Amino acid sequence: MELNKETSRQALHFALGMGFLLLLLLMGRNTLLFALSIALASGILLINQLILGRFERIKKIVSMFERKDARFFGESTVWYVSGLLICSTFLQNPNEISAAIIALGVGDSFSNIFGRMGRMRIPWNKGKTLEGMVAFFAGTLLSYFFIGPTAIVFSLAMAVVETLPQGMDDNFVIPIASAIFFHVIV
Amino acid sequence: MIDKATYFVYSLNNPVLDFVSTLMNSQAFLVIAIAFLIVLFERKERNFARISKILFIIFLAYILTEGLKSFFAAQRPCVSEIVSKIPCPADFGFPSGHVLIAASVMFAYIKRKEFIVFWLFTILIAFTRMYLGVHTLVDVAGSIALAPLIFHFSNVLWRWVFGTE
Repeated sequence: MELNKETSRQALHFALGMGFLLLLLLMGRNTLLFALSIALASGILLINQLILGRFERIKKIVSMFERKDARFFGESTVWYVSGLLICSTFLQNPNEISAAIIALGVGDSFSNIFGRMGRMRIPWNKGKTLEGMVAFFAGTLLSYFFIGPTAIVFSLAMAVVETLPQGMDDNFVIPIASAIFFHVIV
Repeated sequence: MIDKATYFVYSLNNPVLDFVSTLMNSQAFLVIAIAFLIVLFERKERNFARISKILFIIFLAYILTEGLKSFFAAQRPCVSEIVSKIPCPADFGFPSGHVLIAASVMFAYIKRKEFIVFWLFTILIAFTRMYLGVHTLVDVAGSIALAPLIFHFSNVLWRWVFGTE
């Protein structure tokens, strides 16, 4: 049951990522920023209403995608949208933003789905597997279409960051790490 | 170049909005308004630990605002692109301190029914900053997005210092 829930959650994150990527490619950075702002503002209001027990039917649907250990209902979605919004704010280049969205939408989803099937534990984080890290790397390599050969270094860096013990939601850490990668390193 | 959403909000002209926006521009008003709302919502429970934590969130938001403004050194739109409705502030643009503080306090109320008041307050502040021409959509959107981070770190630091949520 929990496995299906996690797969559903990753499928949602993948779909969200692809939706935001499409919006960026078709309408540009400013439209993406606007859409993310509206999504975050309306999303937290909806989360508050769901926490207060309103809209039971919507709550049932959202529960299908929610983590068990969330601090508050809808927490990972708030982190996801906030992370993408900060990343889109910090980065000016649409290709770099696209790469960050791919890392979060594709790389992280692949890592979660394939990582749970893996057996080889990573020495610095026993909760993650080598198979998950490789899946993250492979998924994020799709960013090659936007940033060229830099995608190899980017994918490797993000795959390592994803496995680090962070104490924060990786839906937030990955876009921030992407922003730092392009802003500071590249 | 300034984005369409910012320009649309900035190009509105209304005397009521002028008054509200100028009032909200005052940092003293912002502090008093937030303090008033906190006192109003906490007067029954009188949970001083909770009030202290909210003050701590405001403090963290202020520190982060100043740090990020210096780090990014992003110019305000009123420096070169548009003429603001108030004198253009001398400091940098990103992030908006007004919005960041309001949004951080808003997150502290995420599980309570009073949340909607802070939500409306934050949206209104974000709107007035763009209306006055002192911030862009990027500045206010980035500030709202940073709010969960401040909420998270305040929780972590609070737990580290006091050993309780």
